[in-house]
Amino acid sequence: MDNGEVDINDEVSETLVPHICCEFQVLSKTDGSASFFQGSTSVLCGIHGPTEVKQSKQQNDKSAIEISANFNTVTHSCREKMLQEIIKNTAETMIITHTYPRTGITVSLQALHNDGSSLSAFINCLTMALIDSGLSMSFLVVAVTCGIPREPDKPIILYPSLEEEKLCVSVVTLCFDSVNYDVVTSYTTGTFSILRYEQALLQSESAGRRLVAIFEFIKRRSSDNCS
Amino acid sequence: MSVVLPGDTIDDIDSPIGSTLGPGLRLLGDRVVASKAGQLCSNGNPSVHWIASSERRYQPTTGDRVVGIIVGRTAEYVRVDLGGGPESAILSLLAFEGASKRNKPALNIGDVVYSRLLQASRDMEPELVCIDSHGKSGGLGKLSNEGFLFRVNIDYCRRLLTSNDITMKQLSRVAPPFEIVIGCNGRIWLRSAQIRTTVQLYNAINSAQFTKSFEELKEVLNRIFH
Repeated sequence: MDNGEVDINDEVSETLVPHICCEFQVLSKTDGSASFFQGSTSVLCGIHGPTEVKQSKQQNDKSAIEISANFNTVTHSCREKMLQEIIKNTAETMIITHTYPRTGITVSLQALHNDGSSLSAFINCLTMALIDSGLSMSFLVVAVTCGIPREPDKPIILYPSLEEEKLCVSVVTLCFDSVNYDVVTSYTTGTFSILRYEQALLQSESAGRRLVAIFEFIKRRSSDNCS
Repeated sequence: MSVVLPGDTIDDIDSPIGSTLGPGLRLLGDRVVASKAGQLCSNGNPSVHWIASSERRYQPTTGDRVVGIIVGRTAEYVRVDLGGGPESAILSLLAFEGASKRNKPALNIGDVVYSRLLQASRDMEPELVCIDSHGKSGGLGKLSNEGFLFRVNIDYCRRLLTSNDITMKQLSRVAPPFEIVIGCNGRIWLRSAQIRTTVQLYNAINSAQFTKSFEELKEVLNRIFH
């Protein structure tokens, strides 16, 4: 991986990400939609836009992005609102909103099954749905979740399941752009040392590169089927 | 077929200054960068390049010929819905062949009209006309109410409109006489002598989207029309 290119058939990097399954155009009335399976966690996303918005929400120079994410939790608290804001900020870096002034783009995300790493599943599903919708994007964003275990000598767990997340002292979700692999978003819970965070960054970047290769493969397969 | 992802620099274009960058490509400094995911396509000389991606919502672009539905009318112009968002486009009632202040075309709400986008900037309402610069209609104008209007993928419409597309040529060989108008906004208007033929054509156009070879296309069309 010296030049940053990842071979989809590379066995070593196969272990970095869980089993990914994605389907485009699953919803018929939307402008773009995708269902995304990341291991056992699955998410559905639908995108409407660019459409008309109320005067109060209209922005003269760019599009107003609205995210509505349902995490399927029993209690609804401020945490869900904050996660929606994080997803919205990530979407705003991805979409070239200046192309669609005075419009609104509505994104609806629904968790189908949550087995850990849900924020990264949401962002990856959003990326796939945006690919399907054909909206102008500056780059793709791929999301990786790391679980940092309590014991300092244990390795970092990539894409921890719900059980593994409970045993971790900290869960870090990192998003990378597909061009320079710079960090776009970082969301952490719990405490961790700087060394552990740096380890998580490096491992997530490798996983992110693999994920971009997988996304490209998925898009290529679906294009072949359509044309 | 290789696929480009948003953010990829396109190296295959020799002279970005001389060629036209279509949907999905933009110029960042001196680099051509993709802004959509899809296959890179080129056509013609001077070369036009664009990204063929799955798209359902039309983005108004200057010069496109589109099929619109009239949703509002004033004394001076009509409002036309092109399927994109969010605003409807404006079509002046004087922009028709032979129209004058005393002699305006009879257009009602709900009529289907085939027109050309004169101006489609992202900051203003799109503007349509039904004449070319010589004042002739060239096929533009109101489409008869006896036709059938349906939607397909925008990318498929673009493909049907390229000069070397085989679908339309094969259809004209196999099907009874018909009239078709393909709009760049993903709308197709069909008219033929019998309803049965129109239904067959609708099925044929929708099925031809997924055929991968000429033989497959011929077989599908033969099954529909015989």
